[in-house]
Amino acid sequence: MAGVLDLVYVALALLVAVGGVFTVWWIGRDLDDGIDPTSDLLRAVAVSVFLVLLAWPLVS
Amino acid sequence: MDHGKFTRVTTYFHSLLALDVFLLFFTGYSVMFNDELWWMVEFMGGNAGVLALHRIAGFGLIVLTVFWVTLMLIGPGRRKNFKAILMTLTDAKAFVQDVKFVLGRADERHPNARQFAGYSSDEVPLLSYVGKGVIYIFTVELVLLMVSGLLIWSKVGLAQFFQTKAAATAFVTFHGLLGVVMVMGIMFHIYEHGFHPAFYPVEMKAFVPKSMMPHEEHEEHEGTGIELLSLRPTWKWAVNLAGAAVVIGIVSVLVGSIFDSGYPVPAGLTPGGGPTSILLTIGINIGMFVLLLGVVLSTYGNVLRARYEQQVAGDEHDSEPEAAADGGQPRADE
Amino acid sequence: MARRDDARGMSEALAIAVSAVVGIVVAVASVWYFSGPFDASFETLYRVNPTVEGGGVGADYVAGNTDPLLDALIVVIHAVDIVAGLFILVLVFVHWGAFRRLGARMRDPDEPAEVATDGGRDADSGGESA
Repeated sequence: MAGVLDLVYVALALLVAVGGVFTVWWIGRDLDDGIDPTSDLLRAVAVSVFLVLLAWPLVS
Repeated sequence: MDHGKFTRVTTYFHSLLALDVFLLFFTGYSVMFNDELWWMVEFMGGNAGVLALHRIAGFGLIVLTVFWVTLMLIGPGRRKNFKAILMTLTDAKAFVQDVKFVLGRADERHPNARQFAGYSSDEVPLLSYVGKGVIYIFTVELVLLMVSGLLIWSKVGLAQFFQTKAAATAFVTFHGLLGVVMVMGIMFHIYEHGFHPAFYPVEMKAFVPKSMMPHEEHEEHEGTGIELLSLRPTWKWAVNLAGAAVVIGIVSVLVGSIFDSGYPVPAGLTPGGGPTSILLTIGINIGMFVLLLGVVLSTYGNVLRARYEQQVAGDEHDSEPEAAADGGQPRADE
Repeated sequence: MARRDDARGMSEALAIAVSAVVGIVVAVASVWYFSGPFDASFETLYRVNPTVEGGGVGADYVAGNTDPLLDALIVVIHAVDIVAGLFILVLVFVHWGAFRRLGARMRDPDEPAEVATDGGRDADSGGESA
């Protein structure tokens, strides 16, 4: 069982990381660079799920 | 290739420092994140081998750092660098404009943020705001890491400087946690300079001294001229893959440092170094892979430099017969 | 005494040599100092004697880590890690986004390149096309 401060730290890190990958997807949508927005979205989801599952066993 | 910034000594110093710091990371964090990087410890000769390597690299770090500070103080034309690293209000504006640029609210990156200067290179300062930040973090971190590292250098010294074993343990923990800022910063540094679309896969400014850079006068041109450059085919997936790997690496090391802080004896005195998970193991290993990528790119930069130097030498050689064909005197000794 | 230009000091080669010597000397001296022989022998240092006045070596077995300053040090460095880590993450995303935007402005690899990365133009392409 982790301390409260540790939980806050982990939550902050996840918030910034997940927010960031989705921001990249959001930016990529209206770019004309030949990169499929769906692959951006899938990557954002995959990275987010990975990070949440990574932290889960440590804080639960 | 963009305008050069590094002198010849700086290119060598940067490469040596990089190799030394990577070695310190691999040895240091395979000990601190022992639960996740046990294979690295085995690979580098077990506990004793790893710590011996860490001390050798630490010694190298002191040599390199003191060399650099001394050179900045006594070397010709170096004093002005101290002024060039001062943070200004413009740097804060550059960061804000960078955020706006990413969100689509600004047309260009601020000159203080520009990595690719192109046609507008006269407007670009010696260091971008990130470059200044890197120097600050390095200075503070290296001093603290070297001092705390020396304090825990040997068992005799340890007992001489600390009254209790707990105090010594606290310092080992402190030393490891300090480096976390560095390790995250270096992952970003690798991404920042390896995956810029105009430079990918490696920014030659760091490897070819500015004295050897071609400086051509360009005609008047609006902006940097980046739209004239052609992307490398692999950039499209590499930039996203590396971005994801860097994010996972940084978050994993960060989360790991919260729970895995005190090997060999964690802060909470629980044996085993704290909890772990399979994904944390994978994540931290991805982080180490990002660092390894840095080693590879740094080496590749030096290979390209060697090739470039060879090419420059070859061009000079090639031009001689032409001069002779133009009516110059043929050389008698050939 | 003050000279107007920044080119004071010694020559480049001499400066590099002097800096290298200073670096090695300081490193050797600091490592020697911190791991050096000292006067106390290893054995006397590690004799477990927790009752010595002022806390001798081995006192930690009795007292443990009771120094609040050391605990505070660890708490502070954890916080520094988090603050720095979050800022670095933001920087990564700022650059990731900026690279994507800059990349979208550049030519596709299958389009004919007109400019080499050093900004020099191909010999046979005109200057007006951009």
